[in-house]
Amino acid sequence: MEASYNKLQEYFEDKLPSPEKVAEALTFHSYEVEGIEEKDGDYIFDIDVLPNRAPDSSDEKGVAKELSAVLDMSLKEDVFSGKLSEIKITVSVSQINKLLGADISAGEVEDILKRLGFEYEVSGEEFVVNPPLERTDLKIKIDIIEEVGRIYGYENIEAILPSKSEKAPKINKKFYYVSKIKNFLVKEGFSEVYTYTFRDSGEVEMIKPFASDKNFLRTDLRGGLLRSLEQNTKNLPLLSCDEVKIFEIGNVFNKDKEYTSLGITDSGDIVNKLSEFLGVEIKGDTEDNIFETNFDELLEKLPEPEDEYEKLEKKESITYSSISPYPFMLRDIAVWVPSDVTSDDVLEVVKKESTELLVNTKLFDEFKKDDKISYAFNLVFQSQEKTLSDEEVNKIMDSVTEALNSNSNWEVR
Amino acid sequence: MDDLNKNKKGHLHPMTQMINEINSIFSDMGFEFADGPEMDSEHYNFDALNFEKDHPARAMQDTFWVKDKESTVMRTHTSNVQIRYMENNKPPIRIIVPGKVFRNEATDATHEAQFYQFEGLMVDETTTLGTLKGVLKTFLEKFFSKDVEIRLRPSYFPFVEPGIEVDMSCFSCEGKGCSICKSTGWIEVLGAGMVHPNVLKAGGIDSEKYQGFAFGVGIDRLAMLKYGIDDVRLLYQGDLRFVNQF
Repeated sequence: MEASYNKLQEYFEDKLPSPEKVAEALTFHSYEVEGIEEKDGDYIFDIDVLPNRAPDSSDEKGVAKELSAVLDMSLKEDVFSGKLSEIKITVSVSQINKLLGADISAGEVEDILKRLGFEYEVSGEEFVVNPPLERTDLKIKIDIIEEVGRIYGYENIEAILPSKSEKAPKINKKFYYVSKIKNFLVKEGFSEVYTYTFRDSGEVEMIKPFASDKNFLRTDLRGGLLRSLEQNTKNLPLLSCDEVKIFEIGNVFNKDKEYTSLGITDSGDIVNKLSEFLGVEIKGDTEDNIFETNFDELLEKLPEPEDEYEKLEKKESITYSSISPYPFMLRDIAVWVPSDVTSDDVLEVVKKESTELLVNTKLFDEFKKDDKISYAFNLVFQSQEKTLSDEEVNKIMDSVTEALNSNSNWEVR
Repeated sequence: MDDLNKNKKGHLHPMTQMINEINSIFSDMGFEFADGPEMDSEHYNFDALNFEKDHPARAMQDTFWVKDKESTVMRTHTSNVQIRYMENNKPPIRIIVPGKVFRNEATDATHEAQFYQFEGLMVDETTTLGTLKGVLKTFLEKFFSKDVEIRLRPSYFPFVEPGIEVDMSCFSCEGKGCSICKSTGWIEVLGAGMVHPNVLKAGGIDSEKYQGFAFGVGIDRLAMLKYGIDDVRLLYQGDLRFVNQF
């Protein structure tokens, strides 16, 4: 909703704080002011009134009432009807503090209830609260605790850590083995992909899909893995591997049940290796070079975990760089160098001349003859901004060749 | 020569790496990893979580309802596991629940119809809003490897009360203002609150005796913040140009 600062001011005798301060007070104690727009000598607040507060705060009158509680400023006259809710809620000071983790005194609680315009009776350390009729969101004890907490201010509640739990958390068998298997496959050179749950065919359909080709839940991982395989094979020169080896562990859905599946590109004897690693035989189907098995059934055959989750490797901080939407260009280069020169020495010269357009390199051949050695590389060029032309890449290759040849006894073949 | 590229390790998907890290941080604070189904009943996803019968989140434009199955939805949050866990475990409870969730919304660089979330739930006799603050601050500091401040704003979610929204001080500019925090110095990271007594009751727990907190964090959003990922859709495309960067 929108509320005008000038109109809000009209409800108060005293001057309101600045619009920014008003917005901040509402955001941290009531509901979020998402923006303030200056307009003809006024300020318009864009307020996201919480759904439970819609009945009392959907106009400036209601917001003024709220502000009077938050800022502890009295209204010229009460804007509510003066009628009270039929509900009486009993809450004690200790109950309030026990839930919030605060140390609010009885006096402070009473002051907050007053500011909110609630009627109440005090009985020992208990308050019997009778909210205004307009506050339809207040029905039970917790509602009053929230009122006290937010007006008191969540910033005044101290952050504390829970005490150590008596026993170490239970190891989740499924997560334990999922992690173990993933780490094993990664060590074997496989990369993990997550593919889409929604598909254009399957056994379980959505009543209202978000796209016409995504109306079913996947019945297997194979479909997603095949697409991934195809796409990654096209991009192979950009990837630092010779072969696309991927896997996924995720939930699939058939008519009667949801279960977790494991799918993997079936290269070499990876399934046997995994069986050996786990100590149980893994049965499944290979189709289109993708092996898939019911992970939940496999899990049943595995023993309860006896140790902890695997320790995480410390990773350098990673910053992702955007994937270029433009095509890449391939070139090969081979060079004779004295045998004490390493392939890295050669690459260094290549990279220096190639600018940031050289996005990947691969040493694909190396052989020695007498005191010389030949290195051959695939070079992959790609721009983040445009499709590279042959001429542009040729020019780079010319300067690479020239730079390599300028070293004594180096010769581009 | 042949083995130049052999023995090369593959890559764990960044989502897996983040879930592992989240689990490790929370495990140190005594939280157990729990899981549950991605397709669930209206009861576990909405009713038992104190959603009113006519709550807008139940509508078809927000939630995927399943054809030919009675009152069945694709879970809209990992909170469905709250009740399932409480039914089978008595307090003290400390769990985290990372998992896939679904919302029926148009996809763009910051929204996907499927994404990952993790739930935190802690219930015992003494857990307070102050504990929630402490646990969240610790998590964010460890996850971003930075000292951070957090601040709580009142909010509303049917299954918690008080309901709060949590902002963290920007880990990138440390409050000076940058593109990540849109020059405010603060980043909105998650929703949380104290578990509503109706939810405890639905889970078979005495709400007079026990209390606790729950929170939910979008992991896709954490990925955008932590790694500078500019399009969340990349997480689910099986593209190694993306995965192999991690």
